[in-house]
Amino acid sequence: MSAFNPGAFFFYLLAGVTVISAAGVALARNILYSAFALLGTLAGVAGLYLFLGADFLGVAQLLIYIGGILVLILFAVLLTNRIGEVRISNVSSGLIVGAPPAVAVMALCVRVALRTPWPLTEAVPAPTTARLGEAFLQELLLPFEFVSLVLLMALVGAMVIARRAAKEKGVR
Amino acid sequence: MIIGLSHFLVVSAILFGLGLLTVATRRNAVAILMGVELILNAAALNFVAFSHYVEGAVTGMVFALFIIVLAAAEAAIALAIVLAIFRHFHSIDANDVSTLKD
Amino acid sequence: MGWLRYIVLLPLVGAAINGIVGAPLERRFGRRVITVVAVGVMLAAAALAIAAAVTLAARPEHDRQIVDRLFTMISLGRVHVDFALALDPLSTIMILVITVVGALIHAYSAGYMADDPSYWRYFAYLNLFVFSMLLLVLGDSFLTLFIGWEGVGLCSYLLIGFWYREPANARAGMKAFIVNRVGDFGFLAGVALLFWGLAGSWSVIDHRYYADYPRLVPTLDLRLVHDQLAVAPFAQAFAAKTFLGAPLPLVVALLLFLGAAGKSAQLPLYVWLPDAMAGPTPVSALIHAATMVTAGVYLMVRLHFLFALSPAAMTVIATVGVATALFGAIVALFQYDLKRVLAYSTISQLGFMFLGAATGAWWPAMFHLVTHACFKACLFLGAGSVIHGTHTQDMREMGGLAPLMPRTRWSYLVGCWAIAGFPWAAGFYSKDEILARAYERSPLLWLAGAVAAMLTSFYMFRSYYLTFEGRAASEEQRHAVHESPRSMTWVLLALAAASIVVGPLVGLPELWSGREPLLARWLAPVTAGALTATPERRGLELALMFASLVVATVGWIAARLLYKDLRAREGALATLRSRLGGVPALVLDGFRVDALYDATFVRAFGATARTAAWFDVHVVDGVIAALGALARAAAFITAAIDHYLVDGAVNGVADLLLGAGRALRRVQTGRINNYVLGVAMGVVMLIVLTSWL
Repeated sequence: MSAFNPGAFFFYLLAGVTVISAAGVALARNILYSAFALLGTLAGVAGLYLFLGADFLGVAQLLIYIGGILVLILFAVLLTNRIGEVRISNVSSGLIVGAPPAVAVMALCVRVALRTPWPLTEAVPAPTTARLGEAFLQELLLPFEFVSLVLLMALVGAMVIARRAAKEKGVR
Repeated sequence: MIIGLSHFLVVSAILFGLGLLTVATRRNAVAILMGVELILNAAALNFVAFSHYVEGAVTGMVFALFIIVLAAAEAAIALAIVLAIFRHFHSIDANDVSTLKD
Repeated sequence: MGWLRYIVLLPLVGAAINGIVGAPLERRFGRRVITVVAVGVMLAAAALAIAAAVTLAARPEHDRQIVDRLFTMISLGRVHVDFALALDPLSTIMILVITVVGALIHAYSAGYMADDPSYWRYFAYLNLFVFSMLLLVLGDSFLTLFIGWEGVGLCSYLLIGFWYREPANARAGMKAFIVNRVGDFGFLAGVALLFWGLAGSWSVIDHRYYADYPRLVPTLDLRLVHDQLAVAPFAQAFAAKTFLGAPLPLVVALLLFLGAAGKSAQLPLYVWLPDAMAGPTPVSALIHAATMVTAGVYLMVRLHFLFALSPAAMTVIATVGVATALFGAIVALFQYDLKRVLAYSTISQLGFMFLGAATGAWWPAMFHLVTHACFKACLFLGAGSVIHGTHTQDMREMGGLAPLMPRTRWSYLVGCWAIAGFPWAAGFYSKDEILARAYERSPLLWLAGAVAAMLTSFYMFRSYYLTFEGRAASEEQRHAVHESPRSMTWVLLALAAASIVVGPLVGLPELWSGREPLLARWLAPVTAGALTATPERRGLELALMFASLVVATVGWIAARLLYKDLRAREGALATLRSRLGGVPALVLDGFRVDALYDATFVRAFGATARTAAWFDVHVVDGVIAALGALARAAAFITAAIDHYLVDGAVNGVADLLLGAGRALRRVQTGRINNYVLGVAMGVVMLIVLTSWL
């Protein structure tokens, strides 16, 4: 190993956090641990985004994933498990059957990643927020609007489904 | 050692494999969702890495952004479904919810 | 030249409007809207076509070529096939005929079809037909041409069977379509062989030639094929190739002629055209007289350089052409259905055109095509007007219509005049020119053509006298019949005027004017090199001209003698018949000749049918009965096998499947995890298989 390289150091740090906490998500016995490990993974990925110069994306990852989705998942965990229980169940079944295909896919991806001669360009670090904004409001305006439509529908759909569940409970 | 494209691709491959493992082995519906989030993150990371190293523009990031947004939508819907299932079956173990089988 | 496409697209737009929203439009705003759309696009297309012709005429002679590329249809290696339209002097003539005559017939149809329940459907089809026909003549490659070629076939089918509730009409449409398929097979095979032959001929071109001939690439482009065959070593190599032992140019030319014969109703494949008269009369005028049936002639003139490579094929085509001309004329003599007379007459006239084309008289063939479009459309529409007024197509139920339908009568008479080839009307010049060329080739061809011309004159005037002269078939018809509406008759008069004017306008013979006819000069860039130098033959030409005049007059006088006043003559004919006995009466009396024709052909067919029936009853049935007994015996054996062997096997298979199902049911666990695993394993296997195998 050559002299200390801060870029490489940070990369390995972030990658380590990401991969180790992802393993925690996959293997933890307690689902609460899993959920908190997911926090580490998401934060690690956000860091990797920042490392790649995707400043806006990193911040968005933090805001939406950690601020929104993770909270939602924690909600679900706590709503569907009795807190009082000592061991909140998160049983993994068939690890012996499940691992080989996952490992095989992983190995394939790694192989492709290392073997393919990618056509690289000179990386030009530049702030991306303004460019993303321009892209969304000019050439990608239509997909952008479609995504907002999808979000709206998801919102309404989630409310409808959850409400029906609440109604059922009320009947009982 | 210079950090290049393949480093990121390997990280995302590992992330993807772990996500697949989670989806394949977990019995808790919420945990399966977490696995899906891992897979989505792996894909988004790939997009951003390619955008940075190969394309040199923001298109890949646009995709990543869309993935984040759709993941949010997916999480909201899926968790609503999980709640509904829980109310109905009093369990979110995916093995218990197999009435379609019979 | 971006606007060439609009000539083609305008009728398509009209067809789309009337075809898609025609029904609601008609309900909402009435039929006037449909008419305005259909006739409007045709008028616009005609105006554009005239503008295109003027543009082209303003250019110097060697530069008369307008190409409009729309998009690339096929791009495979070195083969590029564009969807392109090309306007040259030849296609200019065709688009003028199609759009101008087409617009007139559209206008006429508005009156003729006014009471039809499917008004919008009719105009949608008609516009679609014009679109396809324009595509056919403007198409720059074999592929574009073929799209139009099939399109007109489709529209012809749709319009012949337009009144499809009558099973006979639907059958007629089917027949036309199927017979045309035979021709289309020839066309496609011819094009494929041409492509193959051209591609195979490059090998002879030394590589150093490639720099000199950069256009030697595989192509379906009509003009490129022309240019390639103009390269001498290349053309020689192509001509030297053989296919199944026959010279390739001969095979290609004959196959392409088969296609042309199907579309243009030549001898082996003419059978669909008489039946096609089941369609509405304006359709017969537009499709089955003026435009579509001439597609074969157009194809031949368009590919004259290809046909010229094979003199043997030209001889065959000339023979078929003149035989068709004679055959059509003979059959037309005996028809009582007014439209069938005209149908056989069309077959006969198309035979003349092929005779002209096959004797190398390219421009006279096109000339006859143009004049025929005018006078045959005029005749058909006149017949349509008569049918509209009398509600019958049988000439025996007509007669004495002249004072009742004066405008129809005069226009029909002018049409007869033109087709019979009397001077100053169109047919005189064009038919004469063809016959003169045929005489140069072989006096025999001329003789057969002249006889056909005489018969033409006879049967056309026969139909005229039977329809318009003499006495009315019945008293109430005299009162019921009335002249057609003005929207129809002005079209008749316009076409009648065209029948007279077009001939001298574009084809005044060199003999009279002292200079080459306009049409010949106009087509010279297209058929350059194919024109044989005309020898000095002033006296001969005059003699031939006089001969055809005599021929036409003989036919006319014979028809007049026999049919001028049928009922007045019947008594005289009867006494004549009784005095002279049967044989001369047969010759003199048209009725008896018809009867003879009926008797011989129908009886022959009847005898054939009876023989076939006898054969059927005694031989075929016997064979079938024997086969039946055999089958019964076999059935007995198989029943036994069935019971013990097959049933056992079937039950065994069923049990096996049941057991397998029970076993496999366990795979369907209902667990999401297992399914996800299955998907993952499938993906791994797919990637492994595709990348390492």
